[in-house]
Amino acid sequence: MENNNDFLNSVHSQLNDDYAPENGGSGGMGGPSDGGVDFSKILPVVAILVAVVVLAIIFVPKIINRMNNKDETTTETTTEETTTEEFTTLFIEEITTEEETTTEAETEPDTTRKHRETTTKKKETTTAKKTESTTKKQSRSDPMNGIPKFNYMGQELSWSDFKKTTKFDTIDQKDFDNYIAKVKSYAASNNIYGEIGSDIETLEKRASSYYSKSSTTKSSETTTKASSDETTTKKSSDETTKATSNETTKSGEETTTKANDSGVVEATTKK
Amino acid sequence: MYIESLFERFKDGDAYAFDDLVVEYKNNLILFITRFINSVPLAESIAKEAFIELYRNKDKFEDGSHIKAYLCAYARYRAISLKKSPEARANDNDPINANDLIELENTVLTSEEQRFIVDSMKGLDDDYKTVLYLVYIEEMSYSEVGRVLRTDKERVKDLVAKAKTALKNNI
Repeated sequence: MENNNDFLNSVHSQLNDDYAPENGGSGGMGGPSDGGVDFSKILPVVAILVAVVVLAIIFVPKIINRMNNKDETTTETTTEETTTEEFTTLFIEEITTEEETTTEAETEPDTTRKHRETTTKKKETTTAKKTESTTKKQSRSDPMNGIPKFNYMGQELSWSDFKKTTKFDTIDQKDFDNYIAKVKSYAASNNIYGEIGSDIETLEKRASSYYSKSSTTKSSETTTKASSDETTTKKSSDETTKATSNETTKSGEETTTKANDSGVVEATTKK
Repeated sequence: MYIESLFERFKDGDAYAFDDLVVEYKNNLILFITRFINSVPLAESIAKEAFIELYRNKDKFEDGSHIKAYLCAYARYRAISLKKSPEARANDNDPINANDLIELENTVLTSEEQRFIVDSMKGLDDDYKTVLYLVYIEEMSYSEVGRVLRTDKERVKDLVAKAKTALKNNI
């Protein structure tokens, strides 16, 4: 196999040959004759030529028909019989007349769609811009599928899963707020706020009530711990206190009762 | 996209861009031609001819968007024409040089996915191979594939669907 340089050199030398001035003339049509034309010599040649033309007129259409009907499934065409120049001209005529349709994007692989999108951008026509936006809309038929995902402990959680399985105690408030902001901006830009707006609001309410109570729980938790530290002398009472303090993190309502519980524990230890 | 932008640079007067284009795409084109002709040297000479034709006709192209399709279409047309030549016929019964083919495939098929597709295509009908190669390796649109194969887009769609089914059965 030729390397790049040899290949290029060969292309260049052929190009140079093509553009070099031709050597020699094309030759004349023959020298002047001394006398008149001898028709007896020309006549057989003319007769043969006429016969060839007649045969060609009769048989060529038949041959072409036979070739067309030969095999419809094969992609080979009769372009083989055209010259290279004709081929190029035909090709260019085709690409200039053929119109690109937007429906093409529906069936084509993504890579080819991207390729065409970039090409149309270069042309910078308004029609091209319209085509591109239509193509994009078609390719993402359901905007609900494109809602950003939440990174939950190294795993990507879809919006629908996030709604169902949200555990605020394992999610930092900042992360939650950032994610909700992302979802909101996506919903606004894709006109789906009407569909997921109520879910967003419900989640926000739940989150705000959790995070606000969570901060009060933390303070009560520290008080409980302090009191239990003072009074814990027996193993059994220690375990009970731990269990209740763990439970306090679950919800705000539980926290108050557990605070009472810890009071009871305290009384028990006193005994 | 690189080929297209190189052609546009060349059209704008950057003579070196043509050399870059040739170097960048020659292996792809030669590999494509070997689908029709069982000889790498002959495929190379057809590829050269295709680049020369592109050089000569550069002003006829509005932009670079159809360059790949043109080169492949021209190469296919010449390969089919030359297939009947004594030189090509002499190679018909000889297997293509395996080392040359491996070298070509290594430079053209850059991803595992592409290698897998090409490997799985072995044994398929020639038309199916060509259409799958153009769509999945050369990443051409159906219209462009139609231009290469001198057929219409609907026919290409049909061929791709059939080729995919055949490929599925082959895997």
